[in-house]
Amino acid sequence: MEKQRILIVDDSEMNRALLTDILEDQYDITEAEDGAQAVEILAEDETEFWFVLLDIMMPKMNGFEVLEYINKHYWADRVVVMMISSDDSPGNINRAYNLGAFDYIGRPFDPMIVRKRIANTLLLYARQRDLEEAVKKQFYEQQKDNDLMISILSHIVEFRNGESGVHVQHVKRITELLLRQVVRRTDQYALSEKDITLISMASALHDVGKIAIPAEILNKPGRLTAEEFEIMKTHSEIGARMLSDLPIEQFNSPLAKVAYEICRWHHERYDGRGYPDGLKGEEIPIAAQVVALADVYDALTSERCYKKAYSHEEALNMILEGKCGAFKPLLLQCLRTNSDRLKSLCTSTAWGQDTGELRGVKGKGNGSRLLHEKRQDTPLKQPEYMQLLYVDSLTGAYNRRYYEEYIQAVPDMEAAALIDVSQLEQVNKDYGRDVGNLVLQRTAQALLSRIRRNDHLIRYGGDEFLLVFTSMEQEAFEARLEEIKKYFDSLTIDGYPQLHMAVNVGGAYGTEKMELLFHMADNMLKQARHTEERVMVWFAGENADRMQNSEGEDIRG
Amino acid sequence: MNLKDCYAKFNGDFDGVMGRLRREQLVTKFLYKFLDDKSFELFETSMKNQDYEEALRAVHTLKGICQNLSFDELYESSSQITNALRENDTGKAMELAPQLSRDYYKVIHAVEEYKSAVEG
Repeated sequence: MEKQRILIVDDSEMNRALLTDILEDQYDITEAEDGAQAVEILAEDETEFWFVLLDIMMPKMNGFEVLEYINKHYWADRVVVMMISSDDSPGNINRAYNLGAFDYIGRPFDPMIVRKRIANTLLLYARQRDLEEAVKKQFYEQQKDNDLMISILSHIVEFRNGESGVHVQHVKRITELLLRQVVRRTDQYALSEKDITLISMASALHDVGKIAIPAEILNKPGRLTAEEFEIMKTHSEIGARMLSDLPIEQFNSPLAKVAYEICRWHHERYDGRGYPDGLKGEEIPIAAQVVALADVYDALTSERCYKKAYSHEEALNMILEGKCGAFKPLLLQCLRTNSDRLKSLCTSTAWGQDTGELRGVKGKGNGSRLLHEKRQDTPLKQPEYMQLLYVDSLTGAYNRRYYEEYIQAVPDMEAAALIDVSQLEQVNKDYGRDVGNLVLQRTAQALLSRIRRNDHLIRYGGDEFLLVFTSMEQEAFEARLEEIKKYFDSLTIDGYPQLHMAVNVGGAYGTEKMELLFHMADNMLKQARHTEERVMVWFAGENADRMQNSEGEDIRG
Repeated sequence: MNLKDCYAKFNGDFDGVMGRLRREQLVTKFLYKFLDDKSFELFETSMKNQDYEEALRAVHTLKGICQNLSFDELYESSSQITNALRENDTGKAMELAPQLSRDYYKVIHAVEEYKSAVEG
């Protein structure tokens, strides 16, 4: 271990020598002839920890002036001073202590005692510093662990939802942004930095009650019936109960309290028309109000099994127009003020600083603004119409019309894959059409969970689904298709354990016209049906041999 | 002549210094160092130049050394002058100066004698 540094400040060489003599075997000694030299040495490195033995009466700068200098430069936590003086009048001693000296030793001193006192002082400081470090470290680790546990918990819920694994991260970030704005605009809620951290952290649990909602309802691609919706709505009370059922000492923690508020009331609305309790205005705790808004915004801007993603502008307008229920006007202002931040969050690939590995299978698309750009071209501004026109009502995927009107004509698409469900006919025959439909819905859900935010899932017709990928590495594309095939091999349908699903996959890769990619993907699919692999991929620009496989037809001519 | 005799010669507190520094070598080392110490010289020139501030610092330092090495007699005289100068009583300081000088040289001569006795 490195020796502790001690600075001996005395204008008498003899006095310094005496101290050096008794201390140099244990410490790293530096000497200064007067106060001015001493502060020069102390100023060299602002991080160095010093123990100083300081004389009072010295030329240039005396001991008291050195103490004042230390205070003025805020060095007190790294510079410990022990005064040594032959003048032990009460006035001097007092003055030294008042200026921050740690100890005062009068002459003549006993070197053994000086050594002991220095050692004890250093030990005390070391202990205090170790203790501070330990407490700090413990605090951060605990915070990190808490965050991790909550993250795991909320991902379980999301995973079951088949929702994008990042919703929780989004809500957390938006909640934090909104709360900071709230604090800037009002002190009505007296929110501290700690409160903001706590609420953001607890926001991750807002949908924890969904774990108790049946999967068929949770993941139903189409519209929920009134009855199903009532069941869905219970998730807020269930979530709250999960928290209030905790042992009392746990429920009494600030985190659990806030999480309870958020779970129970994140579907309340400012005008009292939300659920479950119909709370109104400020009856709704601010934590729940903010998370409610964050939840709505993110739900709108994300793709879900029952809807596609709205652009930032659309989402903002819908919220401001009250389409998603009433919010406190101040919160809406905060949302608007944060518009740019939210927009960049919404389009950036670095959503939520570190979602880590838990993000799961869904990566993020980079760069395709196809949907947003296209949508602005269309006269059909009303999202409701869009929904009806372009979304397949059974599976929630886009329909063929969407493909034909928006995607087919796009040049420079990177990759496409056609996927069909094996033996759907047989399933329809053996189990009935309802089960067949269930298979289709499950397939759509599974595919949706396997693609990125900016990729497209289209139900092309019957049992055929089309996946269109925007910018993707060739290897990643191949791997993705293989993964999809494997995923289906292990997929079962609730209530029909004997029913196994399997898919055939035909892919086409290369920066080409969509029409060409589609045509080649179709050819590949036809071949894939007859192979054991069940996955075939065509790559633009590769040798003709591989293309010959596609019924020898040269579609480039 | 041993160290104890040396201390007796200038009326120092031998037991006191040994109680603190514990080893004769160490005490001897600092006695020799004292032969080279410039505090007394600085005091004398400062008084001559009427730089009483500097004189105070010098005699104060001398006092400190006397304390550490238990030069009781010299401590007494340097202490008195320190107080006089601190109170800006230069007349009294000048009055006390010859006594300081006598005590100082008593120590110096005793140490020199001891040194030559030890070194043969």
